Amino acid sequence: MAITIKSREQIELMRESGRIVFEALAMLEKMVKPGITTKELDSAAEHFILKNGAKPSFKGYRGFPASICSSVNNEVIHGVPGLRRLKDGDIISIDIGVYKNGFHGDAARTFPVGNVSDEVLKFISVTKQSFFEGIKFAKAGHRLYEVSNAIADCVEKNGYSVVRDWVGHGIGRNLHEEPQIPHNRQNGKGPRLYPGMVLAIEPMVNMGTFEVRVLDDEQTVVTEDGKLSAHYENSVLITEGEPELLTLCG
Amino acid sequence: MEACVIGALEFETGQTVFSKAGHDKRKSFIIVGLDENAEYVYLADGSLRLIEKPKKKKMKHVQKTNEVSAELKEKIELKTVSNRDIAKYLELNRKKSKEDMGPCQKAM
Repeated sequence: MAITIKSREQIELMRESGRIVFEALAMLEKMVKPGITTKELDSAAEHFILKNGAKPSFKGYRGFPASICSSVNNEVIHGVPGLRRLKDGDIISIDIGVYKNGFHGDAARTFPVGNVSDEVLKFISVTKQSFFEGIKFAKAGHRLYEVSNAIADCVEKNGYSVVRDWVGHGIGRNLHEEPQIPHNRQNGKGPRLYPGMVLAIEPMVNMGTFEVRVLDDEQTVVTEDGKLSAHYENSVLITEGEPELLTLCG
Repeated sequence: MEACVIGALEFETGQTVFSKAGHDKRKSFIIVGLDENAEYVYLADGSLRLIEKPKKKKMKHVQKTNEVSAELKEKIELKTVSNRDIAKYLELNRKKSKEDMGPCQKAM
């Protein structure tokens, strides 16, 4: 299927979904403290999303049972919220999808819980930095794999690895649209980027090996070697100039 | 058939669900009925579980999805739904899901 180009009106609607995602993440960032359960974070996010006249995109998507993905420590993505209490020194990746007025917004952040080591803080910061290195190429006229290669360069230069089995995606009327967005180094160029495309670019970075596996709950993806994983994502609108981050307001 | 719509957070007819327990674990079904006490749902897949004899399953043993077919829902309510309709819809969804996955899987 082709990559959809959004109209000006559609982009306006996506900004609204993106704003709710951004505000929900900002709220959860303040709540992330030792002692809180991932279920409590999920309930707060769901309440916030519904209060804003939107629906959680993830709830029920391919059978996912919650409104947010909460992935702790070695969990890469799609962690299912539950009774697990966060501990001082943990890291948690929270991924939120919001559906309003027929369009989705999607973003993720990794937050430290209480006091974490400088090494871990650097790891989280490099994951975020890799996203921003990538989107330097997320402009009309560039090719998608320039984004992938820039992300991979930044991550690998710092001695970490990028998850290969899971990729980013286009986003719009559907949570998952074309194209697939790999974050590891690619051969070839990939599709050309045009204004009006919206891409969920989301490097998933592991401290150790890039290899991951899915747990028996058929949702949670964890690192094969048990080492930490971090995640940073925004829904990115391609323009003629600098990209607009629909889920990073203000 | 029409595309799925997002939104169902509660059980409703026409909704695609997955079995969480029993020998049919992980199989997908369509809800064709709900009991009055909101404890059981009636499931059909159009091939093994037919609309004439749907599977009665506890709600807690069923995983909701946010995919609800308005067309199937209407047909179920009008009692005009056929096993072929249900089987075709589920098959289409399975194919779509596979295509969506591609060589790598898209993260949420």
